[in-house]
Amino acid sequence: MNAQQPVSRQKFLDVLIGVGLAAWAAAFVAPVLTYVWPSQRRGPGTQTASAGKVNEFVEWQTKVVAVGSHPVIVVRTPQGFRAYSAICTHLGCIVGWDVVRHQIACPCHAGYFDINGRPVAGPPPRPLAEYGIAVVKGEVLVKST
Amino acid sequence: MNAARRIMLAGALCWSAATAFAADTPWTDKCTEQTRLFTGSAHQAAGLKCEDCHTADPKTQTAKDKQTIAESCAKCHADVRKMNPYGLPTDQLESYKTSKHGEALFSKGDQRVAVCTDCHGTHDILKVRSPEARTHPSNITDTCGRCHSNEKLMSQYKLPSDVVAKYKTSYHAHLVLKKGDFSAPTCVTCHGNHGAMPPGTKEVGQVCGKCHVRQRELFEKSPHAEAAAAGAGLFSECVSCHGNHAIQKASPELFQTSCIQCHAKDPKQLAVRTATVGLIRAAMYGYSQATTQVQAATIRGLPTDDDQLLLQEVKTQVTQLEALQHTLAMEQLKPIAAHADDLVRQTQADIAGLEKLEWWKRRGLIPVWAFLLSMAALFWAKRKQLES
Repeated sequence: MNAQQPVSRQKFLDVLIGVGLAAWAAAFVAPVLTYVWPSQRRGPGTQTASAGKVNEFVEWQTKVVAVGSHPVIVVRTPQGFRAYSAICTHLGCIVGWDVVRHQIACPCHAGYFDINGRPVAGPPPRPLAEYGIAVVKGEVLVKST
Repeated sequence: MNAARRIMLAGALCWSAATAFAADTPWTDKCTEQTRLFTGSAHQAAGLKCEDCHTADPKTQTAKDKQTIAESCAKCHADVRKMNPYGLPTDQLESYKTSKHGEALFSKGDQRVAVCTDCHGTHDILKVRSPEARTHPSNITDTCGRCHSNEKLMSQYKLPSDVVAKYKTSYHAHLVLKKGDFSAPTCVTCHGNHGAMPPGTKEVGQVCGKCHVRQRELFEKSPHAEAAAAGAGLFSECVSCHGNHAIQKASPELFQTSCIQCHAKDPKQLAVRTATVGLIRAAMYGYSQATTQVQAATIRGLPTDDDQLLLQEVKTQVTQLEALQHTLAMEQLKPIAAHADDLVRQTQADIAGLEKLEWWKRRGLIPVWAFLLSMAALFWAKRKQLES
């Protein structure tokens, strides 16, 4: 037993070093693997967001979704989906949808934008920025252009 | 000889240049100057010649009075056929006749009032959109101020001469003159241009409401609207609280100075003021605090996308609150203020959660360092073992 003890300590030390080196190597390899596989793991990036399934929208129905840190209003028109920045170009309030006028409306100062994002009434000085829309496998995706 | 007569006489001299006066005539120098001014003007670009305005022989032409000037300009500017290609209106003279300027000129023959050439210039008239034009939004204040800042002239009409100076201290002027935002109002936006006339006490709200649509709608639902409608000049809608020419950016401080003008001895109404200011200030303070926290967290690299969205929603509620207070309806203000408060709390809670997570992540470095030190110790032990 006494003769075997130094050998066991040596093996134990070798095992510890081996495990440590393996962990060290893994720490170097992990970022490389993360770099190689991000698109499969995380999708196309943070500037794209899902607004839901196509069948969740009836005509002229809208939804405000977050694309990154930006609210975006998605509208289903008879011609298809449209998406615009939901931040009013006047003082930065979040806009909504006027179901009667079929226009994008700002609740703060009664600014109105038409379905092309152009200001048609009230104080907004500029059109709303347009976002891209893609329908993939029945899902409405919004992306910054 | 007054300024207008001198201008018209100089204009008449210009005609001589166009008709090729002899180079050694005493007119030439002055005409050269008028021709230089005319070059590059809107009228030159439109192909006009000196004789189109200066119909008389310049050697015998006498300076026109202002009424004749207005009618002379209207020969073209009231002619639909001539103005249509330029997309210009043809009602300027008719509008002018309804203005205070036009009334004084055409009814009383008052030659001191402004006529076309006083605002637009004579030979060097430019299109309004030209930045050098006297009528461009960035210059119109000074153009009006040439007369309306003249104390001697204004005193003859019992008008104040400090209106332009006051306007230049206003938030409107700040937007136009400093920020280059030409959608903000200048003198002519409120008073009109050719039909310039000061809006009366009852019309002020309509004038402000051209731009401040929402505030006007909300104001009309307030008890103040009834007071304004009751008339007698006691309450002048927007002006009673915001002032007119020296309008500043509205803030809760305005409540401190404006309400007391009418309600100094009315504790019930002052209590409404206090409650309203309290709601707005609390919402603004909450938004400011939350913004600072989110910005600090973003700088530290924390993922604050969701919190920035919440902040945007808080901002919407605060801005709505500022407009909605025109109704003086506490039952409408309170839910908005409460929603803003909820959103602020939610944002702050999220940031606190992110900060806590960051705290744990930093503590997570301890085992990493322990691992590194252990490995160093193991290598040292292995070296000793190999050496022995």
